[in-house]
Amino acid sequence: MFLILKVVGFEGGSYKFPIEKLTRKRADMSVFQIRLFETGESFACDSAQSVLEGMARLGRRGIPVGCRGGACGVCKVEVLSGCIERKAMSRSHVSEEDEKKGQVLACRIFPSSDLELRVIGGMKRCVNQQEFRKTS
Amino acid sequence: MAMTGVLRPGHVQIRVLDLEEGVRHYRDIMGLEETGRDAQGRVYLKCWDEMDHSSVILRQADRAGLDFAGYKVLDKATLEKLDADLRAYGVKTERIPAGEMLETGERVRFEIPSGHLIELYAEKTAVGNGCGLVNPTPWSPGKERGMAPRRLDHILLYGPNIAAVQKLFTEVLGFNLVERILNPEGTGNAVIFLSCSIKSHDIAFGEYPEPAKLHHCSFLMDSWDHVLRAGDIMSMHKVPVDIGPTRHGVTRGCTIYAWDPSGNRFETFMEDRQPYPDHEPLTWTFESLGVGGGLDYVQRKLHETFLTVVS
Repeated sequence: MFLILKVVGFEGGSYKFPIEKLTRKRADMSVFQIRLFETGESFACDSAQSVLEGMARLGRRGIPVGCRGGACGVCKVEVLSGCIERKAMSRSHVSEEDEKKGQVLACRIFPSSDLELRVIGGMKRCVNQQEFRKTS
Repeated sequence: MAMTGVLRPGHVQIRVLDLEEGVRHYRDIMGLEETGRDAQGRVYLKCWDEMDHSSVILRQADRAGLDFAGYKVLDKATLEKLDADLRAYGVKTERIPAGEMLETGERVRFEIPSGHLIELYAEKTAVGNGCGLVNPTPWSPGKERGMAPRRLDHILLYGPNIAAVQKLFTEVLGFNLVERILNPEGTGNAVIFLSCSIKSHDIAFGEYPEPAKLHHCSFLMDSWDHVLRAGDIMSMHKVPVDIGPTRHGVTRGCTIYAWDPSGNRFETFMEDRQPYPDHEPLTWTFESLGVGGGLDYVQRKLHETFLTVVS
C-alpha cells in the first residue's frame, strides 16, 4: 500500500515545510512488475516511485543500493524490456552511449510498463585497489 | 599554531542534477539562507551562524560531485605568502579574479594529488549572522529554520595519492594530522583527518582509485539533540539516510550521513573533540573502522556504503 503523507509545518512560526512536489498524484499511478534477469525474481513497483525505491521498500534485494540520487552509479542496470520515465543521472556513470543501450541508474527510473532488468552496477570499494580492480 | 594562516573551510561548490531540487533541499529542508544567484545561474547559500556571504554554492551540471572547495585565509598578505609557498613546493596555482564568485575576493586555485581543486581566498563580504556585533543576541531567527546547521564544518574527499595530499597540507598549508585510519595492510593511511584549528577535522581524505570524488560535506549542529531533530526532518521529507544517528569512534563526532537529491552525501555533525596541535595523532586500524566502532561506535559495524558510495 502506498501512502502519501501530508507533512504539516510548524504552526505559529514563520517557517512552513515545503510541499513535496516530487510526489506524483495517486491517480496517475499504475503498478508494474519488475523482473531481475539474473535471479528471475520479480517485485511490484508503482509508476510514482523509482525502481530502486520500489525494491528497497519491499525489503527485496538484487540491485545494489547507493546514494539513491543518480550520483554514485552502484545501482546501474540495463533495461532489457519495457518502458521507463527517467530523471537526470550523473554522466560520470551513464554516458549517452550507455543510455542508447538502455543502461541507466535504477534510482532514477520510473516504470511505465512491466520491466526486465539486468544488474550491471556494484560496489567498488576504496582503500584496496586490487579489490577495486577485481570488481570493476 | 595560533590561527594565522588557513582559517577554515569557507565555501564548497556542489554540482546538482536539478538546481531547484537542490535549492529546495539545502534552503527549505536543511534551512540554509539563500544569499544570491549569479549570471551563471549558481545559487549561493549560508548557514545561520556564518558571518560571510556564502558557504554552499550550487551549480546545475550533468554530473554530481564537488567542483572545488575554498579555504579562507587570514588576510591578503597570507594569501600571497601561501601562493608563493605552493609554487615553491612545485604546485601550479591559478588566480581567479575577485568577483567571479559573488561577494568573494581573488582566489588562488590549485589541483592536489587526489585530483580535487582547492582554493584559498582572503576576502568575502561579511553579511553577519543576524545577531548584531554590539550587545549581540545569542541566536537569530535563522536558527529555527529547517535543520539549522551552524556552519559548514568540514569535507571528506576521496581520491588517489593521499600520502602526497597529507604532505602538501601539513608541510605547506599548516594543517595537523589529528587522526587516521590505516589501510588493511597497515602499511599506510586509508583515511586522514587534517585540522587547521582545534577541530577534529577541517578536511579529510580517503584513498580511492578514482580522482576528485566527494564523500560528504559536513554541517555543524549545536548538540546531539539537534542531530536527532535533523534526523526527524530528514524522515519527514524522505531524505535518504545513509548511516546514523550514531557516534563515529573516529573523531568522536555525533552524526547522520544522508544524501541530497542529486546523490551528494552530506552530514549533520556535532563536534566532540578539541585536538590542539601538540596532541599526538590518534590511529585506528582498518579492522577497527568496523568492529571497533570507528565508523559507527554504537553498532560497531562497517557500513559498506562508507567505502563505496561517492559522487
